[in-house]
Amino acid sequence: MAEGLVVAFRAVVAFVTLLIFARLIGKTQVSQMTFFEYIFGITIGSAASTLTTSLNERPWPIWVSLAVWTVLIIGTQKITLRWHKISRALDGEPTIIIQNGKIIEENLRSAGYRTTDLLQQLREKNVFNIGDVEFALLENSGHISVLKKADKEPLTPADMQIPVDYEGLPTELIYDGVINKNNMSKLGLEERWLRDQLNQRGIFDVRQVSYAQIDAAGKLYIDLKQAAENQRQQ
Amino acid sequence: MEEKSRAEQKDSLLEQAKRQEKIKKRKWLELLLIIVTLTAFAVIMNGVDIGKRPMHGAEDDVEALMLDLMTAIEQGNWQQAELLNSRLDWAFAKVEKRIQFGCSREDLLRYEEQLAILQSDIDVADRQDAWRTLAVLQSIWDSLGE
Repeated sequence: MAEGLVVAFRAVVAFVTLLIFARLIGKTQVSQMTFFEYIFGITIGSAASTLTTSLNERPWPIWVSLAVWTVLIIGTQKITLRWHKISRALDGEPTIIIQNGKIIEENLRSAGYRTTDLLQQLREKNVFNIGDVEFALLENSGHISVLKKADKEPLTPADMQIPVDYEGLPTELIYDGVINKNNMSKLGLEERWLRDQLNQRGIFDVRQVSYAQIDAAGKLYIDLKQAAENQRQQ
Repeated sequence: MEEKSRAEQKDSLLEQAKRQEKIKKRKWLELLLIIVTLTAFAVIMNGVDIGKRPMHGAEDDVEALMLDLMTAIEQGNWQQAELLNSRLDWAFAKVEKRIQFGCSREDLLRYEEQLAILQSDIDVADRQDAWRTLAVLQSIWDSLGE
């Protein structure tokens, strides 16, 4: 038995399967992972690892378990999307742990959250004084959302009634020296225009550009590759 | 002027429809690729029964060789049993390459171990032990991939 070959084959199977299943499960796994989904993730990872290295086990039953867990995750996701009550039962609800600058100890205790954890998470959100907090909610993911008291919030242009331009999302025009023609045509821009803009900035070869983007106001941002940057400075 | 803008609008709608068609096609292709990949994995992992079938005639026909061995041992033809056992060893090595991706290592090693025991049974011409070992071999062979 060529063990190396079998391990390589199993690793490819596990890798591609995980890739496909992760895609099927969707992005919520990463961005809004609840504790339940976190456990799912660990189980699937563990099964994939067993599939790769446990040569004394047949691969098929492990692969089936991976598939079944994935189906269960997708099923749970669909159910929780459809029925809010089940979603609440499975994922729980956010818990208020600070209200009007006071820690609600009972809620903190029932969530199994320590005060030191709370203080750490507040500090990570630049809150060093609990008295500054209007509300803090413990989300299902275990993270804390904080609403500071109105007088402790930073000043914004809206507060000052200063009009600001719409920023929108910038669009990538060049990545690693290659012009993104798709984005250019979407914006109705011509390659000649882009080259003119680069020439005006003393860049005569697009390959020197590491990254370039344009914002909604038409402002161009250009980042040169290190070598080109050094050349310009000399 | 108005006609021109209408034509532009039509062009942009056509382009949008084309783009959507392209996205739809790509999604179907992706789905097809996923199904083909997962099916291929399932077939390889469950292909032990197919792999066990002879592919080079009598050379790698493990089942037939085991039956012949049984007859040779029954008749006390130890020279023939010796020859058949070495052929069985060779045939299993061939088959093993085909079924290793769907089997557990333990089962394959057990079969190899029993083959070595059978060799020693034949060497000392012990019919009872040879029979017993052959029965174990048959049982392991049947359970491969199950």
